[in-house]
Amino acid sequence: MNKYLIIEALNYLDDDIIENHICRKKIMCGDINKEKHPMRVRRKLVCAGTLLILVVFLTGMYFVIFPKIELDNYVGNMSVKYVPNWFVKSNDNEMLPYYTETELFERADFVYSGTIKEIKQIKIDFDGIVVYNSLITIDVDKVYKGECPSKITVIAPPIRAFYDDPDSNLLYSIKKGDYGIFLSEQISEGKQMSENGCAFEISDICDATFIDGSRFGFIKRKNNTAECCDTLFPHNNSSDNVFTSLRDYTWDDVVTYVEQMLNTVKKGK
Amino acid sequence: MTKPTESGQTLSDEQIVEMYWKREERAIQETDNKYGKLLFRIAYNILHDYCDCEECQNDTYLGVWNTVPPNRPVVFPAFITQIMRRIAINRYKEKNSKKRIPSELTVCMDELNDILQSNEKVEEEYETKEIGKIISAYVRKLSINQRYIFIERYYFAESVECISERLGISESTVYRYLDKIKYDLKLYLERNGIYL
Repeated sequence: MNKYLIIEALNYLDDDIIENHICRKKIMCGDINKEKHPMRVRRKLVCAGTLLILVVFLTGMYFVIFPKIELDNYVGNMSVKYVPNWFVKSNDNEMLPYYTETELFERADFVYSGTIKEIKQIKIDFDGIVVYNSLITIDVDKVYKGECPSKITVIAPPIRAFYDDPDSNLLYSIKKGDYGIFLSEQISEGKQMSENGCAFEISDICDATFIDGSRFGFIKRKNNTAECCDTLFPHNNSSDNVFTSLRDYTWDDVVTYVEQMLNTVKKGK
Repeated sequence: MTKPTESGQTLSDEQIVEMYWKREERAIQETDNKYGKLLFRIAYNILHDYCDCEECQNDTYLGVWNTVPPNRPVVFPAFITQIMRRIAINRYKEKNSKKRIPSELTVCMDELNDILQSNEKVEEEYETKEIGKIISAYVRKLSINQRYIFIERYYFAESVECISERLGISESTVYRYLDKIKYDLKLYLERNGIYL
C-alpha cells in the first residue's frame, strides 16, 4: 500500500488554498503559539474561578463544621479539634483493669438513662502525637445515681461507624437517637490527659467518661428489647438475679436489674 | 509568527522574492524571519526531531535559493511550505525505513489508511499531481472549519489537540469532522475514478 500517496498528493494542493489557509491562521490566532482562542480562555477562566470558589467554600465549611475546641487549661504545643468520621483512626488500646459488675456499679459516679443527641469525633494533637476520641452528648431523662447534669458530654474511644464491626463492641453500634442506661465516671477538676510533654484538663472538653470501654451501659432496642456487653450482665448464680442472656429479657427487666444492683451497692456501703 | 527586519518592518512576499531574484543573500534571512517558525513547525510535526527540523529548514532555504530564479513563485508562502513539506517527508521516509517515528505525520498516515484499500501502486495509474488537483477541488467544497481542519491535519500534520484549541472546539468534535471529511474524500475520489 502506498501510504504516502495522499500525503504527497497534498503537496499539489492549489497555492491559493495554502495561501488562504496561512492567512486565516494568522488572522485567527495572531501569533499562533502565543495566543489561545478567546472562548477557550474564557471557559478555562470560568472553570478555574468556579473551582477556586468551591475550594474556598468547602474549606470554610470544613472549619465551621469541624472547629477547633478552645482549651482553658493546657500545657505545651497541643490542640483539640473536631474531625469528620472518616478521618478517625484507632488508638493503641490500653488494657484497663477488669472490674466485676458490682464493682462497676460501685465505681460509677453517674448512672442515668437518656437519649444520645450527638456523636462527634475529635483529634487530640499532642505536639505530633495524635489521639482520636469521640465525644458523646446525652440528654439525660432519669438519674439513678449521682448528681448528673441534664445534658452530659462523655468522652469515649473513637467510634468509627464505617470501619469497626458493630458486633464486636456495643460502643461501635451506638448512634445518634439511641436510648440507654449509661454508667459514667465524673471527670474530676484537674484530671489531665497527657502525652509527649503536653497536657490538658479533660474537663475542658467533657463532663464524664464511660466507666468501661465496652461495659458502659445498656441500649434499648426495638420491641422493648435491650443490648449490652454480656459480661456487664451478671451470671450471678447465688442471687435473685437471673440474667443469663439479654435476649430473653425486656427493657423493663434491665431497668429492674439496674435498680437492684444499685440497691445492692448501697446496702453494701 | 514573523520577526521584523532590522529596520523594524516585515518585508512583503514580493519584496522577498525580488531579493531572491536579484541573488541577495539577505533574502534567506528575511524568509527565516517571516516564515521560519511556520516552516519549523511543519518539519517538527513530520519529523519530531529538532536537529532534523533545522537541517530541513536549511535545505528548504537552499532549495528556494536554487529554484528562484529561474522560477518566480506567485504565492510565496505556498511555495516554501511545499518545499519544506517535500524535504521533510523525504527525510521522514528515509528515517522511517529504519524505525517508526513518533510524529504527527505517522498518526495522520495511519488515519488515512482508512481510505486506502489496495496494495497496488496507484501512482502508476494516476499521477500524484492529478490526485492533488482533485483533492484541491474537494477542499474548495468544504466549509471553512472543515477546510481548516483538513489542511491543518493532513497538510501541516498538526495535532488534533492544537487544532481543537485554535478553533475553540473539543477534540472529539475535531475527530468527528475528520471522520466525515475522510469518508467524503474517499467518495469524491471514487466519483472521479480514483479507487485507492
